[in-house]
Amino acid sequence: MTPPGAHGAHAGPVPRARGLVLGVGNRLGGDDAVGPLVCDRLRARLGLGPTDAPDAPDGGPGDRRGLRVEALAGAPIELSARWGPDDAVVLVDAARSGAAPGHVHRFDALAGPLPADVLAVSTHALGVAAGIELGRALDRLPRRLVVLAVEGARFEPGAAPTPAVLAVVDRVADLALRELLDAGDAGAPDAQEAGCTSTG
Amino acid sequence: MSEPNGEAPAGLPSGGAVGAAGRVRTIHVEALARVEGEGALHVRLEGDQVAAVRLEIFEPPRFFEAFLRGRSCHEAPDVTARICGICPVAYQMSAVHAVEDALGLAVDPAVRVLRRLLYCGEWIESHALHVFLLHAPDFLGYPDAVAMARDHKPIVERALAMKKAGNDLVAAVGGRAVHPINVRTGGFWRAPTRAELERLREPLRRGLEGALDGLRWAKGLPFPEHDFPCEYVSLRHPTEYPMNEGRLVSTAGLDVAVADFDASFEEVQVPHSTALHARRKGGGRYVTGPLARYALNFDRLTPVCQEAARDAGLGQVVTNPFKSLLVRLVEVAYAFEEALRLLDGYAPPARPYAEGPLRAGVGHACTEAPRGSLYHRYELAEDGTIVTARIVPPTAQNQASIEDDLRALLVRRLPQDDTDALRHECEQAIRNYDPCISCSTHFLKLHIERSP
Repeated sequence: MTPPGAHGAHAGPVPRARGLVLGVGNRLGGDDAVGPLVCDRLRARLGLGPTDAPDAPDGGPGDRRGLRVEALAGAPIELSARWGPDDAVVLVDAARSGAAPGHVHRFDALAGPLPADVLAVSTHALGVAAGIELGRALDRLPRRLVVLAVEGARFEPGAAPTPAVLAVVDRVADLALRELLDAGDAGAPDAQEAGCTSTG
Repeated sequence: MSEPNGEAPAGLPSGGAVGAAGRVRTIHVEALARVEGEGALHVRLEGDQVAAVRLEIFEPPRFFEAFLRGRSCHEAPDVTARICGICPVAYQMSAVHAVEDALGLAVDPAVRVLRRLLYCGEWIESHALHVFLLHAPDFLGYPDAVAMARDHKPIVERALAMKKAGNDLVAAVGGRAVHPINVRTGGFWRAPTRAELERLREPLRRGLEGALDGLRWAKGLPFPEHDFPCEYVSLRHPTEYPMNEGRLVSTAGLDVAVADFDASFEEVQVPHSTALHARRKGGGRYVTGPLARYALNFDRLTPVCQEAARDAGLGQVVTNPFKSLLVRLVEVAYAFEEALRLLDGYAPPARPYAEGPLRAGVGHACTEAPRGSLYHRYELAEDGTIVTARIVPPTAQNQASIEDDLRALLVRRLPQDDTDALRHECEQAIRNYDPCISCSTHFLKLHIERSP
């Protein structure tokens, strides 16, 4: 654990774990929207308010008792600036690996490099995998980093997300919360409630 | 010969290096990385001749000009900002200036200061990213910024800190770091307070130091010997290094008002690209961007930046496109220095935006996006509705020159037998222009095809 005050606020005698859900993707890019959509769902459940707060590229850093939910539209190369060393992070992105649409891949990013070809959705040459690897190279990874990548089928600008992807948004929101709850990284009662009332 | 996919003729493996005149070589590269957007480069070599160089652009026309029609002129800045995630400020600035030109609306001098601050922020964000994370790995022999970061951690960390200072400046003035939301016709929705901007002073000061140190570091990079003299076009302002305003000038003697853009330049369709190629009317291709701005406005740089440029071995005109990296760094230093100067004199405007009656008219504006001059023209109806819109992004203007530059490079490098090295040099040469292909296009495949 990090010494008190080194990063983030501590609410009481027990060091407050920081949970962060980051949804990366383009809302107008077909199934690439899945990351922001999962964030929308989580923010609605947690009562965090609208996603388009002005202080983040695409989505506000809603903070509810140690759990933040942020949608990111761009600049994945600066991904490592979004978290601190003692954060527990679940990153939700779209994937394109040839699996069935809606399939959810799970990677523990601390265990080793991500398969770059799976997260090859972004039109930006520097994608999420590069952003994470840059964080690794600079010793700027968080305490925990799990990537949930949802297999998409279409990524054309302006396309609607496919039904198979929309159908798993709720479940991915659950999975993201569970990742944090199971590790005790989302201690907020709100988050626990939100996790329990969701569909599985 | 197979075209355009460059399939290897029977018996030769795709991607194989055969080389030498009179033999067939096909290189098929799936991804040309580290440019913004998607497209492809197709190179066809026939013996000792460079038969074709085509920067191919796949993205369907983006219809921004079409779907602006019928919308309120007040929507133009925010709609066009969505054309690009790297240079949204440039789109907002060209759009808002053009709309104000059409409406005959004058803005408060403090609004002008804020717009220039916003532009400084975007130059810093865009150039710092390109110089250190996209372009520098080329010269150091790394496949990407991640590999570079493992060996050059302090430089990459400092680059990210510089970029963050730019992000914070854009966020302070524009409301958020990407796709700012605070720009509106006549000014800003809300003007930042002095205190809000004052908080940026220390990071900006450190950024200036970082840029100057970066220049001292970068001048030692191994720049290939290469010269591509061509007509440079940029804005020129009576007193400032150009960002928001000025006349369009060129190294071949052009000197016109922005309203004469259409009389001076034309765009032509080419079959292999969904971006139009721009050229001087009665002339030819030209280059816009940092090399052009610098060559035409060296005397408008601050003494500190002029001195830094000289120390880096740069003359007042730079014609080696590889050295655009150094010129971008001079511009990063300038943007930090200029932002600090603007901060000193800032007092919020009495009203954050000017208002005036809507009217029919035509408005033009050109501003200096990080990658070059960005022209907007709007024709408005009496109620302020957009009747026609025209947007000429810098990468489209540079496209023909990029092809010619590559042709020149290839002719010289043709004896080069190592196909991977040749491919790498082509990619690097394209990155010299920091093409924002998603503005004009979308990127990324590279074919080099050789035939006898």
